Amino acid sequence: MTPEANQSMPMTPAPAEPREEPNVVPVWLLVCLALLLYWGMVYFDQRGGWFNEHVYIPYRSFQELVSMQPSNPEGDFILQGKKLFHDNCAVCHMDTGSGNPANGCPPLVGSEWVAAPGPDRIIRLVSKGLTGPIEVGGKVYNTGTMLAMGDQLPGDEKEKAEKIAAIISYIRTEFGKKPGLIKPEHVQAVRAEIAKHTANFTPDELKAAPENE
Amino acid sequence: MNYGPVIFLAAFFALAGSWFGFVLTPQMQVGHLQQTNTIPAGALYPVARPGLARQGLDIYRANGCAYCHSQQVGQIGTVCDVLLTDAGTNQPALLEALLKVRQDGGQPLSEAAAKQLLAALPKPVLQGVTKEVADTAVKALAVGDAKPSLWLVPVGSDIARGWGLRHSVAEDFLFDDTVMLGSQRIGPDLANVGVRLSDPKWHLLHLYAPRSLVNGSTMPPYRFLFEKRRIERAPTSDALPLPAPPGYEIVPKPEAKALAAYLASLRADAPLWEAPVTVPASVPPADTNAPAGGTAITNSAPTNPPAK
Repeated sequence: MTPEANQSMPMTPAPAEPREEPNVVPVWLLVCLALLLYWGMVYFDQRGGWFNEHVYIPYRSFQELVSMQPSNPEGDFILQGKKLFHDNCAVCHMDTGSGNPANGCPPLVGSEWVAAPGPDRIIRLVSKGLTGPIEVGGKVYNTGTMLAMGDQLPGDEKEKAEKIAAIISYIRTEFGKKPGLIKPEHVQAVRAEIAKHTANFTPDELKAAPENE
Repeated sequence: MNYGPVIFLAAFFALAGSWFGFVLTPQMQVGHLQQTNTIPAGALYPVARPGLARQGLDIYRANGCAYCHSQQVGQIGTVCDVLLTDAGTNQPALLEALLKVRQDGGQPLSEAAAKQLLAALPKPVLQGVTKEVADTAVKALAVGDAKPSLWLVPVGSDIARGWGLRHSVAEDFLFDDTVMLGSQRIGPDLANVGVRLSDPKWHLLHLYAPRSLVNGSTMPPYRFLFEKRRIERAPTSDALPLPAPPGYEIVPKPEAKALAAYLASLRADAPLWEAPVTVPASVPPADTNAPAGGTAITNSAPTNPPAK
C-alpha cells in the first residue's frame, strides 16, 4: 500500500486480543507425573549403579559386582601371611626376605630351611626361636638369637597355629618356591609336641627333628 | 517484547546441560582410569599397543573400518559353574554332598550317574547356577581334600558367537586415543579378533582378498594397501602366497602391515574387577563366526567350559 492509500483508510478499533482463561491443572495429571517420577527413581536406584565407574551392564550395583568377585581362599590365606610377616618378621628378615647379614640375621630367599621338603622344622623354629650358629645357603650366621616369635603371637593356641601356618605358607611360597598351604591343624599338632620345650632351639636340635611327618 | 536474552539463556542452558552430561560427567567418571591388574592373576592390564600396531590404529581409522566393525562386546548376565577336579579321599561323603548339591541346585542326579561322574573327573558338577548356589556348592563339596572350583561364565549373544569372553569396559580402551567403538555390525565385532586370529599374515591375505579366506564375505578388498611389483632377484619374504603374473609378486605396503599388526593386537579378554571372568584359558574352541575358510586359523576365543 502507498502512504496516500493508508492515510485515506478510516480508523477502526482493533479487535480484542484472544485470551486464555486461567485453568487448573487436573489432579490426575499430577498424580500420573508423581507416579512416573517415583517409578523412574526406583528404576534408576535398582539398575543405575549410581553412576559408579566400575559398574557395567549386566551388573546393577556395586554390591552385586562385589558379590560376583571370584573367591580365592588360598590367595587370601597367603595375603594374611604376608601381612603377618610384615608385622612380625620383616624387622630382621626384611620384606624382601633378604635378611640382614650385618646383624647376623640369615636370608629366607634361597634358604634350605625355608625350602625344605616339609614344613616341620620351620614350624619348630618359628614357634620357639633359634640360637647358636646356623648355616644358611653355605654361610654361617652366629651372632643373633631369634626370639620365640610364634609363642609371642597374640591369641590362644588355635589362633597362634593359624597365624604361624599363614606366615609359613607365605614364606615357603614367596621365598622358598614351595607353593602350597600349610594347614593350621598340622601346625597345632607339631606345636603340641614341642609344648614343653621352653628354650630356643639350636640348629642341631632342629636337624634331629623330622622334616616332614 | 525483546526475546533476545531469553533465547540466549535457553541456548546457553541447553548447551551447558549437554556439556555437563556428555563431557564433564564422563570425564569425572572414567577420566582418571589407570592401568589396573587382572583378577586373580594380577598381571598389568591393558598394555600399550606396540608401535606398529599403534600406527595400524590410524590406518584402521583412515579406511573407515569402524563403519562396518564394532569393537564392543555385550553381555546379558553371568552364571556360575562348579567344577570338580579331584575327588579327594572321602568318596562316600563326597557322593552324598554331590547328590545334595545337585538337588539344591535344581539339577537332581541319580546315584549311579553321580558315581559315574566322580569316576571321570575333572567334570563340571553344576552349570548355569547363581553365585549363591555355586558358593554353597563349593563349600559343601570340599570334603576330604576334594577340589571343587567355581567358574564365573559371562553369557550373552555376542559371547555365544565367540566374539569375546566378557563385556567391554572403559579400561579396554585406555591406550587408544581414538576409540574405535563402531556402531554397525556389517562385519563381525573385532574387540577380540586378535584372540581368534592371532596371525598378522592371515589378516594381510584377508585384506587383499577377503573371499579367498571367508566364503561370501561382503568386505571390500583393500588392494591399494598392497603393491604388485616385479621380482628383481629373489621373491620378498613378505610376499603374499597368492597367484601373481609370472615374474611379479604382491607385497604389503607398510600401511597394510601396520593394520594387520593392529588387528592381531586386538584382545580385550582379560578378567578385570569390573568384568569378572574365571573361565580357564585351556578350554576347547567354541563355534564362532570366525571365518570358515579352508586356510583360516580357527583359534577362537574361549567361551565355554568343556562340554560334558
